[in-house]
Amino acid sequence: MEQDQAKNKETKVATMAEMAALGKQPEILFWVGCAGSFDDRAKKITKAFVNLLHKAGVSFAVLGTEESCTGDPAKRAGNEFLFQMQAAVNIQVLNGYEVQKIVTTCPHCFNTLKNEYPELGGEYEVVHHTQLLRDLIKEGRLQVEGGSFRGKRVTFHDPCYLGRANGVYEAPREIIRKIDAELVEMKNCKERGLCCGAGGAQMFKESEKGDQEVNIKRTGEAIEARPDVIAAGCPFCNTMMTDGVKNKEKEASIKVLDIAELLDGVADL
Amino acid sequence: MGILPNILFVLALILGIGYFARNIRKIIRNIRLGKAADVTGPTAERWKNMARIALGQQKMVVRPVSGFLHIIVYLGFIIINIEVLEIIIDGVFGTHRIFSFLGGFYDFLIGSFEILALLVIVSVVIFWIRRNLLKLQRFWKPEMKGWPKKDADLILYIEVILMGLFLTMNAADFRLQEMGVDHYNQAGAFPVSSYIAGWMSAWSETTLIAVERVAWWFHILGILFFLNYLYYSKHLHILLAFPNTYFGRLKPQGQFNNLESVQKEVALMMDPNADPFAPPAEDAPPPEKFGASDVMDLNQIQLLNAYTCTECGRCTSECPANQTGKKLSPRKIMMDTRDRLEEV
Repeated sequence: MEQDQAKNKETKVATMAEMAALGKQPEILFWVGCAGSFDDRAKKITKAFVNLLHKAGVSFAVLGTEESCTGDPAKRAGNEFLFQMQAAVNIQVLNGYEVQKIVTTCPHCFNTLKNEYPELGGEYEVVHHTQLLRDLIKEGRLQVEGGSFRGKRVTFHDPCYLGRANGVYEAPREIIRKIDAELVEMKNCKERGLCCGAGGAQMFKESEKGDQEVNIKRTGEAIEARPDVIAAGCPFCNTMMTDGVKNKEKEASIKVLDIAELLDGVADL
Repeated sequence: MGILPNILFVLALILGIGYFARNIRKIIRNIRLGKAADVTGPTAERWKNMARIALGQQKMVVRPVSGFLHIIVYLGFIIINIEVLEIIIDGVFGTHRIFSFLGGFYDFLIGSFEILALLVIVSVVIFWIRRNLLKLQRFWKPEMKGWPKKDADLILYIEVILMGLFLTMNAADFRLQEMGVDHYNQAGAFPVSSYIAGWMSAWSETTLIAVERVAWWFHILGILFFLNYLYYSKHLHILLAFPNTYFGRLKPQGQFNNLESVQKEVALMMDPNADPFAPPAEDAPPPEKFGASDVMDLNQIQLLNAYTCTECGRCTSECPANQTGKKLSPRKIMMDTRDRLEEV
């Protein structure tokens, strides 16, 4: 979480506690999530997104060590009790800091914070990072003109909890168009997008007996679209698609990148 | 012939509709076995969903081939019902083609029924081919063995027979009109059955009347039979699709319900002032059952879903787990729920 970013000298991110000590209230809270905090691959997404927030001059903070799991995996695995405990603690912390708006790079955190916390007393405006980035570009706070992805074929894999569960399909695609990349769609996309294979906690366990792994199937569909980059909007999809690309031995020609990384790559130039 | 056919007809009608109504009441009773469901949310949006999905067939066209054919059969079902209304009035009062006073409009109606009937036959034949010759995977999953498979085929056969009887009836009628037989006044246009009538050119008046009457009777009795068949069949969807889409989910798909009982427990646990050894109040109701182990633990909308399922298998063929050879089949969950509900 915050400690990881502190190691990187250039990307110092304030915590809500530090902000509160100075009597300041940030514009938005960045909810990092477990993958973004602990997974080595997903940490890069976190860093890219933080870079972009800095570049756009967004005043933001993280919870740091005060951030805990949203309770999404517990709830979906049927452990309602654990979920309720985690949610209660988080809501107390968030309400304590009088948080109004939350951005997160994980669609699972996004869904739980947005849809399941209000009933428990946690009402915030919750956006996914692709939505925030799109708005920043629209408002002109983030400049993206052409760049290294100009003309590259990019396909977007819809994360279940962003797309099918919450109907957000356009925000990530608008960003891909903005960086002058050629947006190519897979056979199954948007409402009919296929699972990355991590869904239903399959990320954390071996799958049941079958004749194929879901992520291999999905990566196959992505490869059919002949992309240079498979763009993802979820750290778990990212892992599954990366594994799939390796399985097909295409890692030399196809990159799997988060939307934030795409945009950061361009803005770096 | 006197009044006897009219009496028989009314009897058949009362019997057919009465028995069906009895079964519908059974369905309502069974659905009421479930827990009360949350049906809050804007009514306007619910009506809109029903109009779009059930009436407008929005979800069907996602798969264009079967979607297009389904729309034809569906239109046939809705529109030909106007003809059924006429048949009922004719049957009760012993009239013939009571709506023929509509003149040109009547010709248009009958003409379009005929074309639809032909298109329905064509569609149903294609459906049969897709199911039995092309063997589309979703119709041949393990849960489709036995009755579900037979049920699906039976529906197709009944539809062909009903449409065939309708056209035969019109063809004989057309010949009788041409011959200027009493009672068979000139009415209607017969773009399809006039071809069938060509084969009947040598038939005598008596044969034609017999054919016309037999086809007419079997057509309406067939419809009454089909109506009652619905209760035993997956074909219930033609009726239940409407309430089912009305009660459809309005919240985001990703949102789970909050379990209030657990929320209360956790709040109690985190409350430092709560006495963990306090006995429950004297008048406290016994704790509710947790989770679901039988159909009665599901809510009423879930039970309605199970009755509405038409076993098309689109859910299963869309399911990533099923696509990659795993045992999960959403359709099987629906089918088993209904089977169990009919047991209890």
